[in-house]
Amino acid sequence: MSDAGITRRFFLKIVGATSVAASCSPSHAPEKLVPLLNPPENMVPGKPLFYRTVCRACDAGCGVTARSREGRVVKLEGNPEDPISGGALCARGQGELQELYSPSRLRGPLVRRGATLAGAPWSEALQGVQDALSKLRGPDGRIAGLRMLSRWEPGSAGAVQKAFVAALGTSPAQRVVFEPRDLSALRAANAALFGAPELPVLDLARARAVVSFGADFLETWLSPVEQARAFMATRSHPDRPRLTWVGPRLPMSGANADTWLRVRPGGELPVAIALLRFLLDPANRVAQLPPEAAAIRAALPRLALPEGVSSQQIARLGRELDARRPSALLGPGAVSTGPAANALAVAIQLANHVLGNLGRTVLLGLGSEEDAPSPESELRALLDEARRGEVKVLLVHRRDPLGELPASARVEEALRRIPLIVAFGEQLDATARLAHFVLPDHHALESFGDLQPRRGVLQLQQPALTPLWDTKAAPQVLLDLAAALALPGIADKDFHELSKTRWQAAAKQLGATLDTPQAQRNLIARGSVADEAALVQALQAGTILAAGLDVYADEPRVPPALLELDNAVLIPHAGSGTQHTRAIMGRLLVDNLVSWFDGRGPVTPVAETPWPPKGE
Amino acid sequence: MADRRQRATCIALLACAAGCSRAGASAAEAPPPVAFSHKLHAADNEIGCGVCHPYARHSPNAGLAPASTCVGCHKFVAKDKPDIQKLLAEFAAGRPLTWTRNHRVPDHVFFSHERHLAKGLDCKACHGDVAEMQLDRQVQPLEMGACMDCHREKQASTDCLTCHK
Repeated sequence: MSDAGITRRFFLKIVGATSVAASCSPSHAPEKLVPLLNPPENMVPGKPLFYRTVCRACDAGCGVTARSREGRVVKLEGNPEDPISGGALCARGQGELQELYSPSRLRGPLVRRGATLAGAPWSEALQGVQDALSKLRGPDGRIAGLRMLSRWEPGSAGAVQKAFVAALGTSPAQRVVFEPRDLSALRAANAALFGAPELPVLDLARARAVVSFGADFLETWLSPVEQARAFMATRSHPDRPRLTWVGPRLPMSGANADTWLRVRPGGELPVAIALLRFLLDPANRVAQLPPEAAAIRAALPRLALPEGVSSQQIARLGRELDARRPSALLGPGAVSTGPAANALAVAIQLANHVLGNLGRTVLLGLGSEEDAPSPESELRALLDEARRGEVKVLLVHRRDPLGELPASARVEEALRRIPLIVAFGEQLDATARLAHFVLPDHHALESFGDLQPRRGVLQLQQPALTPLWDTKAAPQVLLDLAAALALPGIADKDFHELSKTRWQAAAKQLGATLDTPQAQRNLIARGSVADEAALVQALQAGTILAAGLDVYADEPRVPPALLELDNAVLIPHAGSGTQHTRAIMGRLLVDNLVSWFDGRGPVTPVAETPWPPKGE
Repeated sequence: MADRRQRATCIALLACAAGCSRAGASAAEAPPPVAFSHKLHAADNEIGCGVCHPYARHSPNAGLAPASTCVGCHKFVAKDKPDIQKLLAEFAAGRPLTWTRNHRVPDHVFFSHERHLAKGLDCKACHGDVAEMQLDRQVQPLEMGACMDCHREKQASTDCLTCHK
């Protein structure tokens, strides 16, 4: 013990002394309470508020519910009434809060001063962009070298961008939609086979067998939340769908598979071709082959099966797919992109066609009408033009080509030749570092907007908290610039108003009614609460769609104009006559009597009640 | 050598012990931002608790009077007093006054004002007769024993999960 330098006696002394020292110090420190300055009307500290909005973490467009405490969003969950998310949310969606509160978010506009970007007020940044754009405008008021690089924006934000480029540029092709995660091979295959470059929507709840060629459809691929929910709904049935995974490694979806056809990267294509050959071979007597089966078979290339997969395995899979209809073949996933990805996508969609899955589990024709990612060739053309010095202005909206593309794309060389780059986004990414103006955008949870992720689904995006930093919605900035530059054809001043007009029009198309700010009015309070004459007028004009009235300003005289209306339901001040209300009224009466005779006075005194007793 | 090391260890440990306990002056010593008197407001002028603590009835947190509530009256009342002038000046500058907290249950206790008030408990039961205090202070221990006594007496649940989630 003494070798260590501490004796037993010394140890005990120290224990005693430290406990005395600890107990001598104050038992608790004062805590500060900071009250609100002006409390928001609908906020109760300690009680959460819930906002329905939409997740922008990927292109699936899940509806979410944001839980907010004291003005800060603390949790996102799926909206149970949403047709896509159905009440669930994936890890990426949950992670949106990390984006929102990220310490590396931009806190205000940045303006280039020589080699560095420096903070500047919005007025200065916008004036700078406006002046720079004005200088580049030709005699017709347009800029030939204007290009815009945006993420997929299937809603009002995209519409504003298109209008801006159409008014200031010389061709709509000057706007390029760059989605590095887009399933471009599948898009290309659908374009080649069915004439529509769009992605399918899957109904996996109907599929009795699923084959995935490296597509992690439960985690990240296409619309993972919706697919996972549909797949798991039938997974517990006795006749559950069989899942076959074809790929080099097992991500989450692969780990749920019944069979793993283990192939090296690139081995998915020979497996898909071999499967198609088996299905189309008349000797195997697969039922209900389409008339063009022979033609397809003749066009198929002969590829050797990859190492580790036998023809017996292919035959077993083929027979399973023949027996278990409808099925769904998915792919290619991110792990199987590459030169053969387009061919693989074609083979997969052909197999879906041969097995009769199209229109049953694999639904086409539901792609968004609003916006579509551009083919890769357009992005390459843009970079080539920039390297040749033909691009004079580049507006980059929430995309980072320098960070997202490989060095072989020579993005930096291209960007450095552009005399004016304006970056809209949340973070100072590699591209924004080369920009001349960086205009920070709101996070999706801080801004209004709308989204049509697929045909028939219209998602409304609303702010769930006030913007944390000095940011501005990117489409609003474009509208402001359009007004300052007096661009023809852009009359809208306010993005929220524009978005509202557009979603009301879209909702009408879908047959939904969203077109009145106050759809209906129920009046059960004292008649004087509402301005009766104004109510009649609003009902006649249709500003208020319908009303249910129990009380009137001058009872028992009911205005004849009200009686004539078709969109008002009137009852003679009998609104409390429900079992529920009458039971509560009875209980309240008893509570009042008990309280009175206990000497505690009435629970609900009215003005005339002699309580508290006067003159005592 | 050993002696020196012992002395160094001793000093280090004492420093640690003092550092582990929370530093700073005790609650009683921290002055309030203005000489606010509960007696003047709640007793002399008969302003109900819920006027300034409106959230107690609707939320787990009682909440503090928002600065705008103070100003609501004091833009007319007692404007000549220096403390009120301070309040108004801070409000005009967009800064609420910062108060010292003197009622606190530990983080592992999930206490809800809403439930206790809904059951008809009087504010006084836990906070004492605040109306008779110039300066509000804690009168009940607010420890588990006190909670349990009351819960047993009123036949409220004494299940652990009632307060500890």
